Amino acid sequence: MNPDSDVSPVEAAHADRLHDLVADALDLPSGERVAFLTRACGDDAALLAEACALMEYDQSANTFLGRPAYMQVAGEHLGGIEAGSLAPGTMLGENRLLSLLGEGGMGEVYLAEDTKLERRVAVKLLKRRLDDASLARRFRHERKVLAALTHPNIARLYGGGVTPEGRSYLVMEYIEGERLDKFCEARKLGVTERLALFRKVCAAVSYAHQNLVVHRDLKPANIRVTPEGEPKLLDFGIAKLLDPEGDAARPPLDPTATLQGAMTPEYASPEQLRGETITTSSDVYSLGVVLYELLCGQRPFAHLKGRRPDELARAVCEEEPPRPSTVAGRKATTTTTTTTLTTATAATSRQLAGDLDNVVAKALSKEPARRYPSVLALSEDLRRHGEGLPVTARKDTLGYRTGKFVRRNKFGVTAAVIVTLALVFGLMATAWQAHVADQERDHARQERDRAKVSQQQTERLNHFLGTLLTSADPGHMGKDVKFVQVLDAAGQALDKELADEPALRAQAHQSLGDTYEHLALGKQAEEHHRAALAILHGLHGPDDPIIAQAEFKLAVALTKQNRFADTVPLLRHVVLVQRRQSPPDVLALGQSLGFLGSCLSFMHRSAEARINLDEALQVLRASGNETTKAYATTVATSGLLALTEGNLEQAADQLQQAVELTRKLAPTSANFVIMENNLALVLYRLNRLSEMEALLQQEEEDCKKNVGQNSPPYAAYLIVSASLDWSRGDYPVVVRKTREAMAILTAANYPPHEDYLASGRIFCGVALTRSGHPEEAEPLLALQTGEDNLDNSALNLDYGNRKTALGECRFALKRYAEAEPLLLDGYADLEKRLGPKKAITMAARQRLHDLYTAWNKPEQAARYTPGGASAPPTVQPADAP
Amino acid sequence: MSTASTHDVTRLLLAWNEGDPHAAERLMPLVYEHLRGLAQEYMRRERGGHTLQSTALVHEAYLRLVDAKTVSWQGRAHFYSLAARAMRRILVDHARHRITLRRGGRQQRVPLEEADGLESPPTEETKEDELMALDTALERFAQVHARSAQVVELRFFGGMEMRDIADVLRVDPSTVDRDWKFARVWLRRAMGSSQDLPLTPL
Repeated sequence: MNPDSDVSPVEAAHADRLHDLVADALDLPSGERVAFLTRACGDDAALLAEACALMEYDQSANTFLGRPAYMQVAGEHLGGIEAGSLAPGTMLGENRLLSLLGEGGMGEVYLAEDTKLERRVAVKLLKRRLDDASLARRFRHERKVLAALTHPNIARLYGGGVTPEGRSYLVMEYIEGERLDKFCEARKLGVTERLALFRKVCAAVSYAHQNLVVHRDLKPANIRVTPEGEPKLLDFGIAKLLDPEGDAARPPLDPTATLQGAMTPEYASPEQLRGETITTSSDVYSLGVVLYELLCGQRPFAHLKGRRPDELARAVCEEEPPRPSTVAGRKATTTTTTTTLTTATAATSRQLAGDLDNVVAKALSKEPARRYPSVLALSEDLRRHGEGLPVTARKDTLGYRTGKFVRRNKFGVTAAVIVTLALVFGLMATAWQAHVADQERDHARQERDRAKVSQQQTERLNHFLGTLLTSADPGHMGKDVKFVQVLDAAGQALDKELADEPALRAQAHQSLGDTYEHLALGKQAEEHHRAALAILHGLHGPDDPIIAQAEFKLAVALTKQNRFADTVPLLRHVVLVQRRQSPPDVLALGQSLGFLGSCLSFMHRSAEARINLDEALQVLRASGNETTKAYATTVATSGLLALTEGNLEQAADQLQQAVELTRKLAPTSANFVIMENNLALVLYRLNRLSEMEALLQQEEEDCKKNVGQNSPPYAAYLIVSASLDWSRGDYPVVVRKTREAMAILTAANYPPHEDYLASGRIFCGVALTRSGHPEEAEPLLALQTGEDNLDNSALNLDYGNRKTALGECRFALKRYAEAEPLLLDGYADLEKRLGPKKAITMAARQRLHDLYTAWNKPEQAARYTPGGASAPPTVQPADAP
Repeated sequence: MSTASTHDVTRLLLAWNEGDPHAAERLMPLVYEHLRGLAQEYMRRERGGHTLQSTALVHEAYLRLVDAKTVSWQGRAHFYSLAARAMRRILVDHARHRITLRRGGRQQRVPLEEADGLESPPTEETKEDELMALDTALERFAQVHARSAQVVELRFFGGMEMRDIADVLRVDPSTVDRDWKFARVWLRRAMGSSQDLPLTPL
């Protein structure tokens, strides 16, 4: 902790020992390190202290020095040290350099004096050399176009030239002024004044657009405000000038490079980040970001601060930022600093909600076509807002957002072994979330009691939430659009309504977060849990159990978005806090360990997952919590992990335990049927079919009794149980069950069930083909060819994959030519993923053989003679020696 | 790189092996200059979209500068250590230069490019300051944990893989791994507890 001191005496005396201890400890799970060090150091307290102090830096050290220095430091300046800066007094054309004003991605900027016209100018010395003659010509041409822009709010480009060393420079109007955002802050301008300034900026950009010049790099740093209050835009079109090859020749930007380069991705539009054609609409987007920041004091994706640039870029391209009013409201209650608009933030939040939120959202639409058609239109809407007229921007429809959600949540599981388990894990993900949400509601209730809030306060919170949330929680049953709108409204009202009660506000955020979770709106859930956490950080120390609990909730919200990696540091901290807690809340600790283990297994970090799950089970058993829901879920997760570890017997045992326990404790939870399904699948894999059958019968009873026959869990049951009928060749029953399941799932319209629905379609389709109705099967199967991320080989259903399923159907329809490429492709996929010797692969091979035989192509048929090894079409027949 | 300097470097490495006390001194400026040029080239390539070089800079320098047939294992180890050291000096010299420039021009400086809201990524300036801090910390670290410090030099400045470092240092790869883990926490601590060290890769 003392960077200036020399090496400590402890360290000098124990150098090697310290090195060994620390290196050993770092190999252990973080929870075991302190105990290990305490044992290993014995009486040497100084050594122990030193080693423990170093442990504190492990988390943060993880990525530290992760990339070689020359890839990140100094970049392109390397070696250009001498050439990098010109001495004051240097003459460039008529211009005498006075001082270095600044430097950045493009080059250096000098304050200079135009000796002829006796005025001060800014000289921009570009890094880029224009060695190629046609590039240089293009550059001069662009420069002329830009020099023709004359507008009171655009800094003039006077001219330019080339230094004796061959570097190009531009001479521009020198603007003495402040950055737009700093200007507004320093003067504490209100919303109305900010909008007035912003509309002047719009006017300037619009003028340039009429002259066919796109700025491409709009951001507050490029918008200066003179002491007279006039905004001036700098660097108009410079970005294009520096990239004279134009858009066509441009490869998609590597976001990593982007952040280190000149462009600021926070202001760049999705199409810009993707390297697509840049149009005036890109400037509309960037202006939207500037407006956003002016209104609420931070950029749309500021909450992703510290993320990797590719994640940031992905967010820009896919995620909806929080509304400005939400951000402003949050700031009003959580910050005490003098940043943007704080003097009136609660009021500001109200001002922003509605029209201004919608205007910003429209400007920030991901697709250019959904944005304002022009900068002028954006400016006009702001004028209308100012005059109290209705604006053209409307709230983004829920359907659109839901579409995004579905895309984001497609399971991206690729590793072959996991692919075979996708269905099982798909089921389990929901299980954990449902379980945790149940637990969390209990916790929230306890917490409310523990906080010792006054009767009056409790009533206030209950009233607030009650009026909004008492309507039936649709939970896993589906989603009510109106209900979501109510929630959104609640989220916006909350910060104002409970402005004076931070603790209650935090609880309200958490309740809303929980509810969003049930609606599978993980993003919104995350926002609320983050808001709660931020508020609680203002009230409690970092290692307070209340913080840990809030982190736990946030972790749950993240799992809803399949962001398992992000949960790990949160949960590790939760575990750390809970270990230290006295008296210990063993149940909570066991649950956190179990949850952490579950997240790790999703990340395929099986070894770490195993350690945490085993500890969770042990902690729960040792504390007499063997009959809790937490234990049931943990033991179920452990069982699934055992499955990936190849330990099917253990998997069956543990899932059996989980099922029996849950039947006693929580037979009505959605979780329960899912556990039964998982157990059924494992029994199927073990070929313990009679046990499976008994279980399925029991499961049907359970479903009817607890969740009803119209619920998604029942649909999942139907699909699993159809696999047993499949194995008996009873295809008509498969058709009946899967059709019923699809009807239920379609009616529930719950995005995360898309995977079940996909399984249902494909099972049903193949079963139809095989029971003599290929014409009915085709539309179902054709629906599924686009996406092939989920194969049900876990069930050992012999249809192969989606391609072979459709191929089989077209084969049955005698449309051989259409069947052929599907069967060939599908077979190649199976061979690659599963290997040539698997029954499923061999079945696909057999089908190719049959196809060619039926098609009367004996030569090709011979290549796919059953039992042979792989036979690429151009080589000898497979069975030749 | 001309064959003349290939010859020079190889000759000096051999002389170093034979105990010539001045060989290393004379080698340093040659390697320094060459690496600086090479680093520039890398950055250009990276900006051209070919990100994340898989070959370490020092490997490439070795291939270009040294006649591998005539140099022993020890010569190679010497070269890599020296090259990583040279790379460190290049970057530190450069950072120092930039910092000086910046201080000189500060009064009138208007940040015309991106000027760092809290949300913005670390700017070059802070990276440079951090690099200086790392250099100082690494100096102290080397006093007590010489081999670990060398691992850092080879890996962070030289950009070498663990396996190759193990080879150069003639130790087991797991030892290198342990040295590296230890060094990171040690250095991180010595550099203060700032959560967002810019040297963390973006």
